[in-house]
Amino acid sequence: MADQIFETVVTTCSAAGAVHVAPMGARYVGDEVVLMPFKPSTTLDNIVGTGVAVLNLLTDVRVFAGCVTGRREWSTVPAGEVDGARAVRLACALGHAVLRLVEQREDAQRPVLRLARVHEAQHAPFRGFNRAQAAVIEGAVLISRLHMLPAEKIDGEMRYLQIAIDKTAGPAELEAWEWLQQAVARHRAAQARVAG
Amino acid sequence: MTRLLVSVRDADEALAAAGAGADFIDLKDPAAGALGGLAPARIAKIVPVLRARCPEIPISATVGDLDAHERETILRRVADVAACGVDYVKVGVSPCAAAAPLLSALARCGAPVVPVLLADLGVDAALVEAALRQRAFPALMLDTSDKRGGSLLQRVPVEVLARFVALVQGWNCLAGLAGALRADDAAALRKLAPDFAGFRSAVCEGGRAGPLDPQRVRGLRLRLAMFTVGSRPRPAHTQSEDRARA
Repeated sequence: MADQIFETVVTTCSAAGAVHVAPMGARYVGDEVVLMPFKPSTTLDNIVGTGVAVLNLLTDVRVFAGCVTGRREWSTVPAGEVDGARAVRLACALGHAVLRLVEQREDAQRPVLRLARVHEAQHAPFRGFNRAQAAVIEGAVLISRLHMLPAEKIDGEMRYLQIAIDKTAGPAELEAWEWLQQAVARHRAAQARVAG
Repeated sequence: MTRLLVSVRDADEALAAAGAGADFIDLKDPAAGALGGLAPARIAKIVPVLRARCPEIPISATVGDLDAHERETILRRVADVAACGVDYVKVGVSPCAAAAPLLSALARCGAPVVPVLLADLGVDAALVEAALRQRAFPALMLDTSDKRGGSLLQRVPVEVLARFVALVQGWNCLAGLAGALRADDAAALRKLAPDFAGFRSAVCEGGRAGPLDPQRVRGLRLRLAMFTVGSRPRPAHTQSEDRARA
């Protein structure tokens, strides 16, 4: 069986204090959180550099769609300190966990980071599954692979995901979906060979 | 028809170029070298401004002038720039022993990379083939690193450029030409018919480090699109330009 992976957003800070927001799959092993950021990446540098990360659980899927389409400015609020290192969480997080790095297993492409939960807090209730939110997450993954996938596959998947958007989206999901559709349109426009 | 890629260094220039009919916006710092890169933090600020006003325009950004031997540094910059949410990441590749291994690393990095082969010393056909064989790049470009040596069209024989365009397009990859291209090169570019042509100095006042002039972008857009027989209708902005001239 494949590892169960949860779509989260990880917020980290550089040693200089610059905040970095990145969607990331998380695995839960016992009480610990396992992250596998790509190498090289700012998230990896920040976690290794400061020993701290914050796991954000959220249903505002605009963050996921925004990060893959050039909208990276999401408001954050302080979430305390760990051994003097600053932690911030997303303002829109339903809940967050402040994490401390306990083990780093080297890998040429994706090092495995084991993190312990230092502090956890809930800010808003989880209101249940929303299919449009799931569709936006799937769409965001698709958009990050646009240049590797054939046009028919992209169209087919977007058409299928559109059903859940049409039936169950709220304003935030519609906005996020529009960003993803624009990304597909840009890709299409760029790749088209213009006649004449 | 050849589309127009315009290199800009900030949000104001990006919006001006997009408004004047540029088909692609390319983020770079002309003062920092041929493919001078803007800091990712600056790219991350420009992209959302452009997305909000012109969501339809594809954006590329360069990683900066880096030697092909600095593979780790290049891959890190590619990841940083791609994380800004641009559509394409341009990476300059000069012909040398490290070029082919760099191309295969770029092909596997997961980001939408457009290799820009530096053609100051000619076009390395084997390197072009090596890049195409990866089947991982949405486009392939030629550019020059020393902008003082004249336009790409003065530096590289036109039949060599024609072979490059044909070869790249034959692999169903987009072919792009750049390198101190002048407005006067438009006629030759129309004949070569690359998928896009990149400009900086020709759309600026007083050279590539000077401010962008939207009027020159408009003029160039028209000259690139002119006299194409049997072409599809032009986008609305150039049609209005035609009326203004008539």
